Amino acid sequence: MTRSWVEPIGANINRVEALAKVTGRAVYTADVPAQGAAHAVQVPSQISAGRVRRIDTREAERATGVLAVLTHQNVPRWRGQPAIPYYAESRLPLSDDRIHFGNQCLALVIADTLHQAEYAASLVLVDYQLGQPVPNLDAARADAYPPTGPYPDRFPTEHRRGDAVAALRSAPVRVDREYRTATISHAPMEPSSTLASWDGDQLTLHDSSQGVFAHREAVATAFGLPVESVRLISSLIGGGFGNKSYTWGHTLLAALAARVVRRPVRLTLNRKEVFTGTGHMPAMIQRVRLGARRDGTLTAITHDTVNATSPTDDRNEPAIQSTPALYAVPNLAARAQVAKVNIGTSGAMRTPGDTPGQFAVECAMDELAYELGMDPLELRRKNYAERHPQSGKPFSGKRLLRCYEVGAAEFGWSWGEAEPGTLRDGNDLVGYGMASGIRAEHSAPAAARVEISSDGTAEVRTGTQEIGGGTLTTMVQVAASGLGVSPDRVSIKAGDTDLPQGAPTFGSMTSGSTGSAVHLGARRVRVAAIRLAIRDTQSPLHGAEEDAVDVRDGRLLLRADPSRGETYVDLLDRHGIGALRRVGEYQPEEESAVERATFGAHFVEVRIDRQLSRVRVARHVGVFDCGRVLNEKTATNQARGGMIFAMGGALMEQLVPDPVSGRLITPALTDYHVPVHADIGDVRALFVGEHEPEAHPVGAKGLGEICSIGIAPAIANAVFHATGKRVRELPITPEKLL
Amino acid sequence: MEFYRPTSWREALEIRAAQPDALPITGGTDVMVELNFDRARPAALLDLTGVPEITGWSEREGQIQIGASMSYTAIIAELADRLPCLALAARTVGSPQIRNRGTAAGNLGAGSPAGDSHPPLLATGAKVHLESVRGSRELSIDQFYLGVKRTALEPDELIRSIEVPAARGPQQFAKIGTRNAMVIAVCSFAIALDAGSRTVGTGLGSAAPTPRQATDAQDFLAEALPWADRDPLAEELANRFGELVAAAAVPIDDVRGSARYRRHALAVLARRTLGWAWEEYRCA
Repeated sequence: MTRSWVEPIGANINRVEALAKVTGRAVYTADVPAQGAAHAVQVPSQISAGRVRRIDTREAERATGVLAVLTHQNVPRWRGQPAIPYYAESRLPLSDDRIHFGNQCLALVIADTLHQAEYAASLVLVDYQLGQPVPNLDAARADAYPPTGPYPDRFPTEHRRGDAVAALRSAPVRVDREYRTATISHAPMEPSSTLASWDGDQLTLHDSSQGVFAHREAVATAFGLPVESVRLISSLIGGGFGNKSYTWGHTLLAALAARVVRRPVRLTLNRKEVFTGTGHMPAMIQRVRLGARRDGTLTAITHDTVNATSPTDDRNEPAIQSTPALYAVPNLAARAQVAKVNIGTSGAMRTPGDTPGQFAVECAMDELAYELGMDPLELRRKNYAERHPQSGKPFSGKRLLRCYEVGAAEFGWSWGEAEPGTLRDGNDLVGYGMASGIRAEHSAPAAARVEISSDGTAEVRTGTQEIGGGTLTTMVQVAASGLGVSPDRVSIKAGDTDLPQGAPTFGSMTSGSTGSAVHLGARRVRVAAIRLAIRDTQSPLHGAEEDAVDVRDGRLLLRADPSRGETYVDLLDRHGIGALRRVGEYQPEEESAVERATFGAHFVEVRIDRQLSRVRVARHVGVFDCGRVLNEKTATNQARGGMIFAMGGALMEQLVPDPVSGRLITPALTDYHVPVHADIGDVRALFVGEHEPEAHPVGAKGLGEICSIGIAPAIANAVFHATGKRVRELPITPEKLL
Repeated sequence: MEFYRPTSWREALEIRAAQPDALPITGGTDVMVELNFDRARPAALLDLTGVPEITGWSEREGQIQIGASMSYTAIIAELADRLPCLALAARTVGSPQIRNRGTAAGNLGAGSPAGDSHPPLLATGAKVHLESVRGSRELSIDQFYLGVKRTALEPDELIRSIEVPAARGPQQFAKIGTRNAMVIAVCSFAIALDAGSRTVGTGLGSAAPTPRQATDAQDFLAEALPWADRDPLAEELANRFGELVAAAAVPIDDVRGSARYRRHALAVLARRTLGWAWEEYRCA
């Protein structure tokens, strides 16, 4: 019996870990068994600004089961300052007596059991010297300034071309608006967990990590160890969204605690600590000015942003980073500032910079379209940039016009039939809105080992991480395609620094970078096997040209005569080879002749209860160009998830600081509301990408971030169309529409 | 923290009398949240789930006795015909898992103005049966709530049951949240029409320091509704009812919503639920 050969890339196969996940057998970091592990609990600060005048740990130390209590007074010194951002802050935990934000860790209690540690933590007495907190961005705004340090070194705070001010002055049509976004959280289902154990100077960390290699380096630096002395293992992750892209204090503290008590130590964050101490997307105020001719041709864009940043670090949310790439506008000026607020350091959150930045610009574009009396879609087409408008280079691929076309057709987009605030269906106001999105495509060096065994099974080894997007599955598919075997014959080992170095699973780099390493490794194995066969007099393929041989379903065969060939199993068996293995290495070009980016277009229908002003996204069509789709099923799932994720940020999510103390008053899932099923309408994700080897050898680009860009402005624009009221502040809660 | 798990009602009352700072717990959907957020650190928990006398429900002369440990899921499954308003409210509580654990009596014990059970109990004129080793007493529901998370429950008392009259006319409940499920009410409203006595009951949630009735609105409506002719609802009448309901509210601004929105939304909910209930009455 022969089964028909299906190309593995693009096939809608189920996730390789699906069964383990739905049956509860899947192992997440907090599930990793550890005999004799002690438990660590952080003692949180009750104030958001000030100092620890005195900290009394005597009662806690006397409590049952307590092994140690660490404070800034007795903590062993850190041996080095890890580089930002993979350790997120320039202040290491328990470094001094200063308090910068509410719930900051002031002490660590280590005990035999979790309950003993929690109880003892409640016995630690802190005498506070209260400082004057800066509670929120409004209070800080007047003191905004250009950031300095490693974050702005990485994310430029200015972009310029032409003379935007002069062009604005002479523009016949102008838009000048301010937009605001709230502090929002990744809110992953899985709180980060660390299990640390030492064997002499050798540290093994199980850690909820989206980038085991980058994080190993951060940990090694803090302990003054060579990177080889640290092994970091990340098993399945229950939601990342950037929450686990950087390492935070708890990871270092768990390792430190294990060293102090000479036992493995487990530290799992509670929900409040996830909200307060592992990053967030900071509150922002953005001013966008557009200048245009009456025919809609843009002549100028300015984009000025200020975001809240923590007392310890200047982290500019890179909201201006894509503004120069959006439209073919000759004059542009963009500038980012920060303002100090007593809140934890913000982090990368899907999609860093681009979600808030393009909310502002794409809303302004909609305002301009109405000002001009022009279809917002037509306005975007009019200013479409064929080449990158800043560098002038061509894109490796750009199918944004196709996104517009497919999305408009699928949605049934038509403009101009109803004035804003006039479309009704029963008791609902109905409105349509659209926006587009762009995300620069990043790359990182990556390696993967691929092998085919004489029993016909294959294995991929690469230190990538499964954060829920389907990475394990798509990497198996890429290997299966390269080898010419069915995906069900391929297994994968991932999430471990003992494996070849994969790209981190953030910045949308998995498909392009790790995928290319797997692709190259698998191709090398295939070529090695083909060469073995064509040089082997006993092989039916002896003497064939290398290029004439294909591999399908584990069988090497002549393209011109598929009946002539043999299986990997026979070939390896005959040569006494247990496994044929090769390493694929992907190295991004230093200087590229092309620009790489992913694109999206969103079309949204909102329905708003006329009296209660509650906004529902009834229909949403998102169309994406992310190159070749590796698995339509996982891609659709990821894209719809990203669209719903961004809808939450647009309509309901916000971390609210107390206006006096600055402490967050909603650091719990009871009040920090993410969408539930009942909030989700007809959400469709479509793909127009094609094989794009100019982007990366595997032909795929990232999807995990582009799918969350452009949703908030599309919704806000639809809300305007439905109500005639322009809400320029997220989230769009009913109050704002009363 | 001590943990008591009595296996009889008598034993529960004795423990309660001996240790009044033991916090009663049934489903835990309020109590555990308080513990988890460190808002409460009771000396002891008094787990009532092992007490057989307070499970389930019974009916006598049109009055339904709801045992203190009867879950929302059971209320929905077994009492939706007799107590439609309470069942409607129960359906909006949390998730299936929460409804499997949570109880209406627990809502009363917690005394949060946002509890979903309160508006239906107020609208239907429920009574609360309280017991202690000293004896038992009965309070009408509107006397039970004293302030934010403060109730008339004495330190040695337990809620034994809630008595709710079987519906004598159409009843409705509506709730607004910041999302469509798994949500604490921004505000909520219940209405019960008594076709026999031609009276109206109302209940407002998340609208004041305590759940409350809108008595002026009730009196106005009882008088103004065309009970005999069953005419369609006049818009002015519905609007006036909405205004009176909103006037009965003393809401606050908080993270879930503003006072202004709450007052506005209560008027809308009042008009809508009245419209639905009146249509049902007309067609009955």
